Amino acid sequence: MLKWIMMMVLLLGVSGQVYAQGEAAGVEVWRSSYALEIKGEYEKAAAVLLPLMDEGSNQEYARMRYAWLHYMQGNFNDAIRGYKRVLKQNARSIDARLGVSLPLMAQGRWQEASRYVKQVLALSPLHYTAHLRLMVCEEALRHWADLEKHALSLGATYPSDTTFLVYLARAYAWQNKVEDAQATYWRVLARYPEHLEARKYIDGNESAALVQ
Amino acid sequence: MRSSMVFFMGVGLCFPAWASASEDWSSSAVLQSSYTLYADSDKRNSAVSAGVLMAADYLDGVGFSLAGNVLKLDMASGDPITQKSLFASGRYPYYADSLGGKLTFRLDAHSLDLSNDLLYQETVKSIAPSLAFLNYSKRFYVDMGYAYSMYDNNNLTVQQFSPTVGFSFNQDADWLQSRIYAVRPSSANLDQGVANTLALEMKWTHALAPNFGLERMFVSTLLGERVYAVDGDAAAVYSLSDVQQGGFSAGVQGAWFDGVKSTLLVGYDAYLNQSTNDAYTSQYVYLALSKSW
Repeated sequence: MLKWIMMMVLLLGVSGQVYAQGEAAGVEVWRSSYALEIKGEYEKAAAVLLPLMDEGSNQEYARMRYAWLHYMQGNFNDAIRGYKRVLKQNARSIDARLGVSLPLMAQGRWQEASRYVKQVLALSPLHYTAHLRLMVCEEALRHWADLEKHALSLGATYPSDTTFLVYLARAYAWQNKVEDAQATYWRVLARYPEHLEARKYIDGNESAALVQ
Repeated sequence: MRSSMVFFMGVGLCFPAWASASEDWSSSAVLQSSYTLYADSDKRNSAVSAGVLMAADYLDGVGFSLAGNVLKLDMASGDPITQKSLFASGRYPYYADSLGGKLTFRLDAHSLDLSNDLLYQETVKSIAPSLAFLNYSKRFYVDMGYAYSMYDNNNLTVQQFSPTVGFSFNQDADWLQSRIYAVRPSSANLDQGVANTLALEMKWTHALAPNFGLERMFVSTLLGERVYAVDGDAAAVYSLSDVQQGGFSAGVQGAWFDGVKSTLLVGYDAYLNQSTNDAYTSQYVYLALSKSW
């Protein structure tokens, strides 16, 4: 009996060590990938992840990181395919939806990028990054009325945020709502006194007013 | 006798709401009209046209357009000539990362039916494929267009090669586009003795800072000679047997509320009928209203 228990303990110890060694080796792969990314060697950083993409507990994360590294190389189609593959595995992934929006935006596919970002907002209505990316898409599509409504709705949730105010000011400016645009850019300057765009718009419109 | 016809596509403000049911589709409708006055022409007085164009695109991907137009040409003597036109276009994009931009395959088809109340009858069919490249930053554009047109009345066919280059400058506030029209009719005998024509069209577009709703202004000029041209930008077939010998146009586009835009264009073209040595000019005004969803 004692021999049997000792054998079991030995076996568990060995398998535990093998597992720990496997996990340690996996961490080294990740470490190597991050180090290569920092150096800008995105292709190599992606290549070291290949063994992790089809098995293991970090398979989904490996696939997402692989797609991200394709995006960083400018391989936008490969990145889009990679993120969509992750979404097929995990339809609830917010990370994959935000991930796929970046290469889509890089290709100028604003409609499709908006679709994925709106899916994120359906899952997480106050997601900051998603709101920001949706505003980028609305601006690129020149949907000024939508951008105005969108930026206004976030005022209560993020009252100290400068970026949303800048988008609101732009929406006003492009709709020729000059007074509203000026008032909003003043609010931007209260948060960021050196903001170039706000200064330029206010100075430009003050000059125009003086000429008139 | 062939008539000088200018074909524009138009905007319909009555586009049904169901067509915009899905956010994945972006659609637009255009209602347009034009009036042309001829000066010093032995045969033509004026022309008026009106039409509708509808377009839809799915998620920055495939798209199609359909249009119809009617033009009436008032002749100096004889009955007016009526031209009814149909236009269809399909486009398919491919995002080419290795080239850093989008390739678009496009195929246009035109069908024109011209007649007056007497015996004059002409049908024109044209097919125009093109391949275009626009880089991701939308600062550089190039395309190669080809058009093959068939004029049934005299068994005349016309081939056209139209390469185009465009680029932005001045921090993307301006866009300059140049297009060559190299047109070759199948028979010079059927075309006033004109074997080939060569023309250069240049268009400059300037984005305006938001003011009084005006969005952009544009100026265009045509140098050289052009006959039987197929214009992909205007979705037009210039079913004209008289040689166009230059032209100039200028216009503005305004953006109003809820995706409604308007375009106003005025232009001047010079023509020569080589058979009768009839040199004349046309002045035209074009107005379009569009709505997009």
